Amino acid sequence: MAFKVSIEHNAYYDSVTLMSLSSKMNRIEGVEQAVVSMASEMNKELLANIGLLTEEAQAATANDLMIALLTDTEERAEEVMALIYSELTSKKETKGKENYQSAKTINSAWSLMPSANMAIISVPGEYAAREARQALKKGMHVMLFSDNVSIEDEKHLKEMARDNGLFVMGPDCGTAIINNIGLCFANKVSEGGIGIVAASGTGLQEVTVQIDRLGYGISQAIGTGGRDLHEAIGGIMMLQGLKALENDDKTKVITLISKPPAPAVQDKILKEVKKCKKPVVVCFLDGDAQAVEEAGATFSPTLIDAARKSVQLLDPQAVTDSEMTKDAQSWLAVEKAKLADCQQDIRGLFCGGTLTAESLSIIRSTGKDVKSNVAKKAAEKLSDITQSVGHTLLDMGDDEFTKGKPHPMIEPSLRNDRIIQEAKDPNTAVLLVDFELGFGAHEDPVGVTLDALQFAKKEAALAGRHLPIVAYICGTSKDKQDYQQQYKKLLSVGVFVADSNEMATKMATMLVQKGGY
Amino acid sequence: MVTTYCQINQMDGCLLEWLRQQPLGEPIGVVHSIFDKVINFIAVDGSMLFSLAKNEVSQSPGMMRTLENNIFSKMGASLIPTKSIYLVDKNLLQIGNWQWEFSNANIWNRGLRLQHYQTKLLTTSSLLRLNQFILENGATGGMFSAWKSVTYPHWKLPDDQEKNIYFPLFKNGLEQLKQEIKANKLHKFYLKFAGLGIGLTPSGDDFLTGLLATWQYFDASLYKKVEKCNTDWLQQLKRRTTTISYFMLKQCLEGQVNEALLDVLDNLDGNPIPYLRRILAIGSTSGTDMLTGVSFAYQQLIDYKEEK
Repeated sequence: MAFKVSIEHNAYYDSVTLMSLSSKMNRIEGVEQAVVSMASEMNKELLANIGLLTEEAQAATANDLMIALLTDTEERAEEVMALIYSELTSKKETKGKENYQSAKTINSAWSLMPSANMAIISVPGEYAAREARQALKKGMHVMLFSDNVSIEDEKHLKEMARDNGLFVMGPDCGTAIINNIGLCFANKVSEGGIGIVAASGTGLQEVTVQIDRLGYGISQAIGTGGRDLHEAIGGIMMLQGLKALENDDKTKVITLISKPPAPAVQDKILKEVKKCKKPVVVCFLDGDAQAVEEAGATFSPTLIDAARKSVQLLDPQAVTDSEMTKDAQSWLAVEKAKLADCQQDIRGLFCGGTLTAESLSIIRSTGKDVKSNVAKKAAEKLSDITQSVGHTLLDMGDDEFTKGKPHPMIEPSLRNDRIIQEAKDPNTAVLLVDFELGFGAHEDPVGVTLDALQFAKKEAALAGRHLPIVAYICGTSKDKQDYQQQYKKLLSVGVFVADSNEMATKMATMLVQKGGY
Repeated sequence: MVTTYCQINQMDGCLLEWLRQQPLGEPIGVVHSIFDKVINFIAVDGSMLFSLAKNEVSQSPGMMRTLENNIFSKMGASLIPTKSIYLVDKNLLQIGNWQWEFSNANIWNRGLRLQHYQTKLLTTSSLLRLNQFILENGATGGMFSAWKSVTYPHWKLPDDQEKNIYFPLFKNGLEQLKQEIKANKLHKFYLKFAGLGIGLTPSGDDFLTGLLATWQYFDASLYKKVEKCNTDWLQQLKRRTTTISYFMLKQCLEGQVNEALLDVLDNLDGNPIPYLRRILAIGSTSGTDMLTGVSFAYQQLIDYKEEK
């Protein structure tokens, strides 16, 4: 038998590291005993019991790491000790690698990589325009994640970009897919023949995700930022995007997505659409279907419809089923029967802005009054965002909720308190929630919300009510968060997971529909 | 160097009170240890351990939390132990080039609520549910085997646990503790557990935390018997375990434990499963070790009540 003891003074490793190291070493053949622990009195006594307490170990304090080995041979002891140190060192080195090369300005970043042709800018709004200007001057396209950029700056930047054949995607641009590379909050989707220009983040995500689920793919997905179709900007980037996609060989069908544009801008866009030689689908939520069709394009009222129509234009043989499944129908019937009389209202708590807008449009179209913090119409505007009234849809990613906090797509648990609040309201008939997967989004958005959903159901049950929850996961099976796992987690707590935001909203609407549906 | 400003979104109320008494512009502590999600600091006079953690970490006594994960990781990767932390303004801490502002932080003020256990139901069904959860989900590296062996005497230690040198000590400790409770000799029982086990909070200390917290929570007369010894205990604990663990036990004896454990205790007679899941996420075996302490303490409360 051989033994070897080593002491690391003031060495702090988390218990997960020490525990896994200890059990790993104890599994090695020839290792009789491996102890990797802090040198507390009790642990030293333990070492003494097995005859391994050396003088050095005796002198160690509870804040020192103690490594003791009892092995069949001297060589084994040496080998295992070296292995332990190598594992502890690699842990430290991995941490050190977080110090990757960084630059403080666009110019210094560009000098580190002069071949770069795109800059992603995420700095406080007051500095963002200056940095974007620098990037444009270097000949780089710009994705401007920052918000709070003035409309004057936005116009100037976009004109500068257009005049130089460049793009400014943003400000407040959350999603883009360029040459099959997802930027910021994009999902991992297949490459294909549909090119998209979209003002918004989750609107673009939803359409790309649905196209991927239908088995087709994306050539480019260009974000423009939410104000591009305002009169003051005039849709500079949507027009630029349309032109670029028309000239892109890989793009066979073009899809434009936005909330309704200013009338003059809509005319300008549709004029260019009319000239376009490729088929175009236009999804302006709450938009003017007649004007779109007169321009020779296909109108879509919802995001999933835009995805389906784009796919059908690309491949007329494609199957794009929009029927509600039997499972969904029977779930609805069972849940509806359990609702108490007081439960009348839909409460939607969204992380995605355009998904909120889409749900608002769908619920409104059924003739119901609905309130939201992001409603454009005065009558639909929620006066106090802390209190829901009737059917209420909240975009929890809006500035009012995110001041000084991360966006709920990054930290969905910020929504948890509101989930409980709505569950406690006796008028709540159904909770409608979304989860976004993909690059930039939380590693486990469902996981960090699951307890709150369970708790919400429990709270309602304690008050003698049953609370149905309908969820939508905006993500693909290729996203890093593992769609199936996220899906299963929701199922495990009795949440119904719809195939699209549109379907989730329709199901919530049917639950509160009086009589049959 | 450019200073980075960051926000603290939640802070322990006791830590805030302590900060209010600290001098401006002078070091108030130094970095003690740095982990992926938590950075610990020790006060200059050694009287306090406090921490800065990512928001996903369960709130603990002396902890402030931030939602700024990237900045936290960046700062953590650049710090070394002994780096000073300053209070540079009433609501502003500085560590190197990072300033942490806490004027808008939520204040966390939860503690072990002192309520007589007759007002909170002690039921065998709650205990069985807790035990079932530990059996099905518990991490086996720490107290688990000893707890299982004492709770279910017919259970045989699996072969792969034979090398577990902690097992006999933990098992003997638990069996002796049962005897000492019966004999009303509780002045030294902690010595069998304090500092025993792997990790920065050795399993024995996590077990003690779960046990003492449960007895306090139910305002048990058993706790009143050990409470008298607290001052002596703390003196000895300081020498017998790690700094982090010493402060965890000190805070527990002062009525403060982490939020995950509080949630478990609050919900033992309701639906504790979500909270039990959350506590398991603490450390490698720490959560399980605390739960074995809760289970053991709860069992003793039921037995003690029945005997009375």
